[in-house]
Amino acid sequence: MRFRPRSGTSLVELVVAMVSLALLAAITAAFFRVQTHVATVVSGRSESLDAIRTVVGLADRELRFLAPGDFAAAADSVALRAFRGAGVVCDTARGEANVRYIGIRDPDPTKDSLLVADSSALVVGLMASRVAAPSACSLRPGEQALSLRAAHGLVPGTSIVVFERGVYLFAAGAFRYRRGRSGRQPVTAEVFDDATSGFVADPPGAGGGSVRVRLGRSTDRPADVGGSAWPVDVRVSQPNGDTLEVHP
Amino acid sequence: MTVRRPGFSLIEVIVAAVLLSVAILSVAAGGAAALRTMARAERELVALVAGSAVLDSLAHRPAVGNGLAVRGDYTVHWSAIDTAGLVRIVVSVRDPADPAVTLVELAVLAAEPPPPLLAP
Repeated sequence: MRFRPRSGTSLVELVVAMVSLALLAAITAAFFRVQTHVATVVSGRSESLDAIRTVVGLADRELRFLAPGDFAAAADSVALRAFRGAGVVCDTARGEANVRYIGIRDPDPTKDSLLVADSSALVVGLMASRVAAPSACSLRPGEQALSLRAAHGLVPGTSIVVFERGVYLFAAGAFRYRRGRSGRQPVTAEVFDDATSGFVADPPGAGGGSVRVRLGRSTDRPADVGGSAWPVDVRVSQPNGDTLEVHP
Repeated sequence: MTVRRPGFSLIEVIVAAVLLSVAILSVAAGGAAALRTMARAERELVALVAGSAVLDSLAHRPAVGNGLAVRGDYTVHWSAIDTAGLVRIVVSVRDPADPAVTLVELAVLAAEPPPPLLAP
């Protein structure tokens, strides 16, 4: 009898193919599991770094030029006058003051107050603000003319500082900013530990001190996802502040 | 007489397996490189924060000389050169994982402390 080749696969071929397929599937699954973990770790660490950079930038911008009376630091928060701009009164008319103004944003009567930068150091409410004709003041480059109505009369030649009262705090894992008594806006992702993150104000010296911000890693995040940069101590010296960081 | 059977030859299978391995290893190497880059970025950021804090405090001193300060795993070195009434302070932070590598170098020209912005 003559052997007649049959079409299809033999049992051995089938078993080899199935084992190969299983092996390939196992390797692929492990590979994707590892890659997913790597992506999670990289994403989490990137989020942490972004949050740290944000706090470092904000601390430098908001805390550096504060005088001792401009802020109060508690363990988990710092209340401050967040300066938004400054100006000089050019003239006054009909209860409004024309001001040469320069700032990081325009004055907002719903948020801002004015600090009169003379020996009185008065804090007065800002009632109205509108853009004035450029001819209202002799402007220098970068300045704009504004017409301000304040709760207290402003005298020509007086310097004013525009500020809003706010609180930076750590709550629910995020660095947040609260203006006045309302709102609790997150500024960063929820990557911090409320218990180990906070503020310390060094005692003021001749005109200023320094503020330290400690950033602790959220314990909700695995260590490899949270990153290895923790804890981070940010220190901002204010003008004429004590130099407490190093003692050469 | 040679009978040609349908299917892949051994050479074809080996070439396919090698190509697949190269592709998988490339992707895996990309992930490892991302982790290394991230770790380096973390070290640089912490070094920057530590260096800035030290530089910040030195900038208010009239004469700081040379020195070092230890901040956790990071050693911050500084030197000061007096030039024409101004002091150029240079702060550098080495990589704790490889001390031969300077992670951050910062410099500032410092003068005598300015008067307070507002009278207290």
